[in-house]
Amino acid sequence: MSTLIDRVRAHWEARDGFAMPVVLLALAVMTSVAVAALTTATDEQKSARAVREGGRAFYTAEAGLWESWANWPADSVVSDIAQGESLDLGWKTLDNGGEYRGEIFRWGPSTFGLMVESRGAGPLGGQQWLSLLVNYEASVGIGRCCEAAALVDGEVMFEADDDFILGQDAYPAGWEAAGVCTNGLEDKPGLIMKDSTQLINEDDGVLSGVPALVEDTTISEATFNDFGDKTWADLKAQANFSVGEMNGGESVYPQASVNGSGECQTSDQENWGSNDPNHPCFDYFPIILIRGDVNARDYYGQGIIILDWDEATQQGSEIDLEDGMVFNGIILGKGCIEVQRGSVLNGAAFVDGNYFNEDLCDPDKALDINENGKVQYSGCAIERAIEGAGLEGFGQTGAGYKPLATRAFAQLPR
Amino acid sequence: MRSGALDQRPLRTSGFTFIELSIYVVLSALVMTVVVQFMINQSQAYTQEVQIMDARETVRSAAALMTWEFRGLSSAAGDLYTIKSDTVALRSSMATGIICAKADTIAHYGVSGRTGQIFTTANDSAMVYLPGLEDWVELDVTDQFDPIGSTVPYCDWGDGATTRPDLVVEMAGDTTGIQVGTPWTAFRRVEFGIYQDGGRWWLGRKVGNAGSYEKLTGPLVSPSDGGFVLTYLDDTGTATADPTAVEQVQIEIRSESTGMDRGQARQDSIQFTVWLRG
Repeated sequence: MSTLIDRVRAHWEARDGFAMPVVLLALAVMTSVAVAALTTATDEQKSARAVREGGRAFYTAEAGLWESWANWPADSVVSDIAQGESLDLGWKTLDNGGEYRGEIFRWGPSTFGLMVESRGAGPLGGQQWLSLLVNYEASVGIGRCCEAAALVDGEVMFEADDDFILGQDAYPAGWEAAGVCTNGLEDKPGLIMKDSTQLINEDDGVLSGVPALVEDTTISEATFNDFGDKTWADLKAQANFSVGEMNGGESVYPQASVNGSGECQTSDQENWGSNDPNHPCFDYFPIILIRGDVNARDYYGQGIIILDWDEATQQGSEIDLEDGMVFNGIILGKGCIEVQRGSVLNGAAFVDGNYFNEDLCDPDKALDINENGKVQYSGCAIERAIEGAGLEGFGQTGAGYKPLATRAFAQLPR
Repeated sequence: MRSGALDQRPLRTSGFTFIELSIYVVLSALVMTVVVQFMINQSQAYTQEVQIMDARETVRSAAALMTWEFRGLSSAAGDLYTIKSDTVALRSSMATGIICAKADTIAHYGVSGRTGQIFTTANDSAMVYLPGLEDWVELDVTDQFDPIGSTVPYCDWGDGATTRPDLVVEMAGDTTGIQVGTPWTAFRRVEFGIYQDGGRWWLGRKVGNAGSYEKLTGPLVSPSDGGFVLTYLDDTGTATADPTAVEQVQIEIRSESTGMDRGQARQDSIQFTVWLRG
């Protein structure tokens, strides 16, 4: 008995021709072409979108980089970052929806890296990484005092082969163990001079640093008077006391002293601080104004020495460190410096020899090293002296955190 | 009986008449003609689309590449060696990092925070920033090692030697003054330019002192038709021929498809300006 299904099947089987298969084939081909075209168009759109969002992510990162730079944290925050460590500034969102995260790395004592990663706002969310290398020029500096072991406008003389000017950073004896030098070492030039032909090395005195010698023809009188928004008179007014008289001579034998209560006796003008971490005067850094020719002998001092000058005669002063005298800090001003007979300056010298006083300095030079004298750059001594003396506000114009002059920006591959 | 009558009908219908067959053939021919023409058109459109995309991808990749190269350059620091309208030789940044340790007696340095690839061929160099000098100093990169088992297995961050460098590099030259924390960048001298190969024009590069170009992307239209045109501008927006004065670079790229459509390649172009940020 034939069912309805059998009859329908028989009816279709009786059909001839190929129109239907052709139409189905054509439909299949057209569908394939359409799908391929659609897929291609979609891929193309995705590709274009990825490029667009990648570009947007870059500009998000760049905007984030400069926004992070514009909102650079306070020095007190950044200076607390240990070398090799970082400070995460967190994710932030721009008005266009792009997100970025800044992170400040401390690579060296004065070298920082601001890294920014970004996420684009779109669904394909392109990512970019940018960095900005930042150098810290101590805002606690005193003008350009500490760019080298010695920065001098005038003649510099080594008189023997056991005389030294060393730019390689070093800690004063015992200070690292005392835990007061924590920022690491950073070598500087040994000597920066306006005119390198004024270097007189009579018998192979040792000049070294990174590099040993720099000639900077931009050095001028203004270099020694640039203390940011402060003046020479402002600096001089900070002195705790003065030693000597203009055109006079005086010898001092600095030694730390305490009062009856065992406290550092700061009223004693021959107390120039102590090198002993256990002494009450270990953190005492006086500002000493030197007038005329002053010889500091035998013992120890720390702080800031300012060489005064006479405006009427246009003549400066001289400080002699001699007979094993050790001074940790900065000597700056107008006139001349002599380091001799086993004496050492740990820190930096910054002297304008244009106010060379022939009555006092001659035959010495603006900086004269003789008989086993040594000028040793010490970033730690400089920093402690400036902070201890309270001269943080006397940095040169533009001091602080600054992007490197060249190659500060980098687009990082990941 | 009704069902019996139905069963007696023939299972096959009778054949087509000549007229029916003629109509069928004509209609089939028409349908097939339309279908085939449609497929041909689709194929041509698809081919054109592929060629347009090919040309577009070429300008995109070339633009991305040149943008990347130019962005990080510092003309004042001498990163541009020679500048011409269709070639540029520059110091190409390959990798960055920070010196985190150094060996005592040999010029081996641990590099931390490394990004990018480092090579040690004669064409590779590195620069380190010396804060005391306030400038970058160029050195040769002569070798690289895995930190494990090397002369500087750990970074010297003062964290008790717990952090390993990403790699250790050996450098030659005046290494005085390199300290922990010194920024470090690896470079290659690379010349980018348009050159001809197989009758077509391509964007290529010469690494170091290579004599011939290495193919990067293309094909481009010929230089005379503006395939790859560079215009260098100073800080006032004026064209300059001084490599140290370049502040921005205008780049024009005209590409064409690899395949041809009826003897004609599809073209695309892009024109943009990159500011040197380094």
